[in-house]
Amino acid sequence: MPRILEVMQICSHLHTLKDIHGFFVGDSALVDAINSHPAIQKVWITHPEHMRFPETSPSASAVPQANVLRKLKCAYNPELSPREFHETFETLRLMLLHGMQVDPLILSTRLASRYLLSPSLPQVQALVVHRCDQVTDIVRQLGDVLVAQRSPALVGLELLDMPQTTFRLVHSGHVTPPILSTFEMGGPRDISVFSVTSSENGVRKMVCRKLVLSLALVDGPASTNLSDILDEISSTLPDLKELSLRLPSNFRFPEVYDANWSIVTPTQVSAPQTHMLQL
Amino acid sequence: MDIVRSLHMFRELERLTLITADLSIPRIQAMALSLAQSVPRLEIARVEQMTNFGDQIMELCVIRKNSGVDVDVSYTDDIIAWQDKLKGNAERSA
Repeated sequence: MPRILEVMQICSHLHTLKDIHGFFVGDSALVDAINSHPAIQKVWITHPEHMRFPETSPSASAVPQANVLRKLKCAYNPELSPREFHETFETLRLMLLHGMQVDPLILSTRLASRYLLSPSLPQVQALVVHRCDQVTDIVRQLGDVLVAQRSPALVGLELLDMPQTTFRLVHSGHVTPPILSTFEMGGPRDISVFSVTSSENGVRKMVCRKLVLSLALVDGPASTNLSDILDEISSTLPDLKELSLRLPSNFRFPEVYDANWSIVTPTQVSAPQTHMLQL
Repeated sequence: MDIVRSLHMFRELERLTLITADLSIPRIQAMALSLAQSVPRLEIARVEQMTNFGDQIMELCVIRKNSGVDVDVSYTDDIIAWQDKLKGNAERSA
């Protein structure tokens, strides 16, 4: 399956989040999905480095930025100096404060706390940030936050201390069990986690909503520890009621269980025997 | 990957969806029965096949736990047609 379809499936989950107006751009594979997704009206760029789509996609350099950021009408110039970058944000802030339509808003985490804390910015309905550990004040102000970041160990600790906020965590980077541990520390909340992990051969995603967790892995080195991840999840979320698991395409269910497992007796299963076919 | 064994650890699990490329009914049956025996609260498990057409999901079978370890695995027409097609291809190749 082409990688972009994986991303599209992730974006399809966003349809359930009606008030999403932005999306983290950190992976060029998301570009087509973002551009074609009707629910995404604006794109916030969290950090200048993401404009360059550096290491996440081998085809990144082949993607014209104008096409990549079709929804980014006010593109950030990566050649801007830090001072010019500041000035750009200041201009945007003033435009917003004066009611001018700015679509989208370019945002960097460090600058966000300086420029976007004002509640008089009604256009900021969702915020994509790169590191949630720096923006808890913004979270309190906006209450609807997308968090995109690459280090799962940093996710969630501060956010989970704010029970009135609905968090939509967009995680880009390697997904490891500690991300669940951080959620568990705050107890079950209305938490949606959309996770995209790029690996050599594919993408894996993790979706956690309350105690409903969906996890998908595709072929590649990162998927080889699926069993370990499941073990960690089961110990971290012992009350998990629903689980959706997309298995790697090369995965096959075991045919024979060892003595420590449940004994499998085919006659115990009521199934149309005429369709029993070993593929 | 011993994921079925790992799934046994979800003792409170009630609903499970597995999206897989494994279309082997015997293996799915074995997995279903194993889960039904080991996950006490599991009521329903769906096995789905991700298609190559965007985000469409083809439901392969629904596993409903009746009582005890008795499970009912109902297969959709999709997986039956799919396997018939594969079987036909294999016979023609032979």
